[in-house]
Amino acid sequence: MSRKVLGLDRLVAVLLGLVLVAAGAAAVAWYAGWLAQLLPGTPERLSTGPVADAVAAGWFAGACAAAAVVLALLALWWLIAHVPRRGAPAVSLPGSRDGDRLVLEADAPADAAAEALAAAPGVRSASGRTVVDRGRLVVELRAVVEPSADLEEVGRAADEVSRQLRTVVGRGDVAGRVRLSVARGDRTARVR
Amino acid sequence: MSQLDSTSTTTGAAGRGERLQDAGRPTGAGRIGVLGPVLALLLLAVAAVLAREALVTWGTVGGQPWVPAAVDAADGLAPSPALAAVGVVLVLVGLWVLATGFARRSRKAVAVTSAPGVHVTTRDVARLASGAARSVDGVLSASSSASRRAVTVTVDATSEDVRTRVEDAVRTGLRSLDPQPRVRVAVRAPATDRSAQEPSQEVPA
Repeated sequence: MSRKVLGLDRLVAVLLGLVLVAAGAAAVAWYAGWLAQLLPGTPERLSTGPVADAVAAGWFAGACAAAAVVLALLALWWLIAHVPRRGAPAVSLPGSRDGDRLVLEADAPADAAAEALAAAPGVRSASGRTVVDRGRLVVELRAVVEPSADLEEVGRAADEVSRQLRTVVGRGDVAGRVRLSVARGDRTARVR
Repeated sequence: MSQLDSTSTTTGAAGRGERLQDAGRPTGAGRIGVLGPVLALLLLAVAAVLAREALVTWGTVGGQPWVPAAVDAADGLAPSPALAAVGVVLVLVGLWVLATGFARRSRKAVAVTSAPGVHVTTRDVARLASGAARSVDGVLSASSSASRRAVTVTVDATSEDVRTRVEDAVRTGLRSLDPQPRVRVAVRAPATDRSAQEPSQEVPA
């Protein structure tokens, strides 16, 4: 999910949190009598008369329907915005000119790099993809390694793959990241 | 697409060209990544209640309207211990939601020192530690928990004597991590009553 959506989540969470704290504190203060001391006009009982009048009005059903449509659209957009969608566009290669563009499918070098990394000792499997992360193209490799793998050796293999990728992509503005996951069980340990 | 050379990767014999820029440590969304979709679902639920209200009022759907009933129920509400208890719960939930809104992104990545841009998570550090501990002679089983700065390994072993060897094995297995985690080992071994054993008898497994 994008940082903008996370920012919206945080904003709504903070506003909702403030409303809940204020409502809860008001209820406690009302019971303890502090609210009456602070606001002398505080009633002893809640009166919902004006609200009941509004609910009984002819326009209330229409207002509910309109609000339902707006809120439902907002909620659906908000939900869908949380679906990860960081796929990267095709990457222009050096030597591209107007009308004669050399492009590289973004995930192709990542796939090839993953294949190369998967051949390293201690690596069980690997996958790769290119994403846009904080406005930057990032080739992200994920590899599953054995629990007994030598991390240093796997790291060196990942470094070698990174250098080859840099050569293949030919662009200095593409970043790389390798996430290693350690398998739960060791397959190599089964050979006795 | 040119095929990357897997042979040179395994042997390390390829040319030493430039590497890709380090994309930095990955971070997770943290609790807000869960709370956000939950809030969106709550908003959808509110929309559904309002839509039902409109349809029931227009007679399109059968049933009784909920909003007038709720407004009537709230009418005449007076301060009471139950209301104060609800208030306390609201304050606590509100504080938790506020804290979630301000919480930092989760940082569980630990860097591998042999190459920039290579990371494992704390869960994987625990698995590596367990794998290293299980390789020690005398260890029957091992489990671990890890943070970015410390790892605790609990082993079932044939004897207490494995502690040092397990510590060494785990430290060796995690030597290429940055930051280097502190290693703590807890050993669960059967109590040995040496006075009851023959001098030549081995510690029971």
